[in-house]
Amino acid sequence: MSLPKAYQQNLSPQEINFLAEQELVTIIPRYGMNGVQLIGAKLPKLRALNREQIPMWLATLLKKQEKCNIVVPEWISVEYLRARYDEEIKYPTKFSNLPWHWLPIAKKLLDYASDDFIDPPHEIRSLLQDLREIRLVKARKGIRELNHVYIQLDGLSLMEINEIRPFIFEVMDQLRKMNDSLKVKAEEESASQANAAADRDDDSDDDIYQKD
Amino acid sequence: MDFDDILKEFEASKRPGHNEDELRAEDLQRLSTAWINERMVPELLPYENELIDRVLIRIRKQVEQIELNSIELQTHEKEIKLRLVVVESELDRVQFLIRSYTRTRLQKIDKYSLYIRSNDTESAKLSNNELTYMERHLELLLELYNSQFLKNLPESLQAIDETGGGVSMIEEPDLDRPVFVKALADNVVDVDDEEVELTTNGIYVLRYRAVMDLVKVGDVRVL
Amino acid sequence: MYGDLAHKLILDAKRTQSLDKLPLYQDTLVRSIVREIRSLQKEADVLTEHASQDDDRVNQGQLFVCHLCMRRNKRCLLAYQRLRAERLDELVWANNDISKEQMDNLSPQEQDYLKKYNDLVSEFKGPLEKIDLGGSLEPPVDVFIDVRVLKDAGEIQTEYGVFNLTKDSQFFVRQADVERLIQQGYLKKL
Repeated sequence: MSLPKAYQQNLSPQEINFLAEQELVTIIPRYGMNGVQLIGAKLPKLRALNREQIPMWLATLLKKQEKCNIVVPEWISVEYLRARYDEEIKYPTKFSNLPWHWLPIAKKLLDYASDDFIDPPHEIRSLLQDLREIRLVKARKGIRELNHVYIQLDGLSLMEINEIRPFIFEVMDQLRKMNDSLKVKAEEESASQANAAADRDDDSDDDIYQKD
Repeated sequence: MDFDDILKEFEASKRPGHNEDELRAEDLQRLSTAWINERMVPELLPYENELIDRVLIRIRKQVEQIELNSIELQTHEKEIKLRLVVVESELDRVQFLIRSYTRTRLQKIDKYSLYIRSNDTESAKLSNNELTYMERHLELLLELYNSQFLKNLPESLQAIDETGGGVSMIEEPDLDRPVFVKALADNVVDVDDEEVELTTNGIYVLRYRAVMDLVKVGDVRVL
Repeated sequence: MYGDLAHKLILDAKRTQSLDKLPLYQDTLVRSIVREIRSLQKEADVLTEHASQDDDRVNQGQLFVCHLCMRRNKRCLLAYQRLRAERLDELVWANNDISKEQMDNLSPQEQDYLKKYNDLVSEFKGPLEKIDLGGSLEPPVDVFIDVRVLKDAGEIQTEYGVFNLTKDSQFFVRQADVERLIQQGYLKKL
């Protein structure tokens, strides 16, 4: 097989990190550097202290070489994350509004650019952890409403989706198969009932329904 | 780089309302989407011929650039080195996308080859290279089955694509398998006699069959 | 009983799924199953011949069972071989050297298939040579890394020039270029 089983029907956490690294962040260059033509886009000519928006993977690469500082996005702040946490508690059936790649982006910035944080990184870290946990519990509760037709999970991020994906697929598939076999059975029964009813007295049938 | 490449590039640059950089960024986005779609949906999707061609041309040019610059690098000039690191890192990323995309497709092509072959719409989804691969791989497999046991069976049992007898030997993709999608427009879809309302930005899990047309027109995004 | 042998083959296939290496090809078993199918066919032929004009339910039943057994046996053979072929494909894609023990477990026909599939994959890779289709399926992280030299390793030549790896020196290198030296303990990733 050209693609091992582990890669079928799901993404790996590394692949989600990869996607998150395509998101843009703002950097403040510390030195000038000529532009670079890339396959996907162009790294613009950098001038010291002139802000630029570049993909995350590039920002952390330059950061590692001490070529720039990264402007930590506003949502990675104690204030913002705490407010989301409060919302998570206040609305038990809703997920609060966080970016599509909030987990990997926050983690990457904590790992590569903790000195660029305004709020203490350890506080951010523990808030992220709290948010992650409370949302996971919610997602699990949401799964209870799973049926064979659909489930709606607005507000979940890709990493969170990926974590519950195998479980949801499995349950939905089982429910679908059960439902299909029930349908077949019901059709068979209604067919045989129709036959039986034709042989039987109509009144007695009505009686049964009235007792219900 | 041959003449065809130059032409293609020229065509690409002519597209209205786009400068080359926007087009490149867009193509990378499209490539990511194509990769995720291929990974997540049960059926084989049409091969992204033009997109892949464009990106391959850029890759080839980039590799040439690297080779050119590595020579200069002996001077150990710091900025050249860093620029090269940037170029190579990005190259690795794009190569990964195409690699994973291609191998995901091959896995599906191998799995559903008998079905794909029996159906013109399905066959049309393959690139020429993929089509050659599929035919040849089937040949090799048949050769293996034959030499191992098939040729010694009674003639009536020598086919490998029987569909009768209650169990089909031709495996088809299960279009009722669930997918995660994000709605990019409001729509109503039918799932198993029930109507499901998709609201823009909502995230849903439902069987692929219900949204496959919406995926193709871009009204939902596969996650 | 008819089907018992095929059942054994399927058990072997099931066991194979949880093994890293392909176990020995079940040559004798496969041959026995083929023989069973052929004798079933003979039985079926006799039954067909002897079918009386009128509705002989017993005869028809026997004939039906014969055909079911044959078909089931055939499916088992195919399933067994398909699983093994898929594993052979995986070996080709993994692009590692295939050990002698592993080779010895394959039937001559499988060895032939392996070689031909390997060629086919090389052909397929041709137009996509710049992609390195056989490369890692995990996305790249940190293409370049800082390494410290743990023991003297002499000079290495990379496309980024020559590095003189003397103990305690530090370099910024392409991870792929030094993967082996890291494994061998000459270098440490920082």
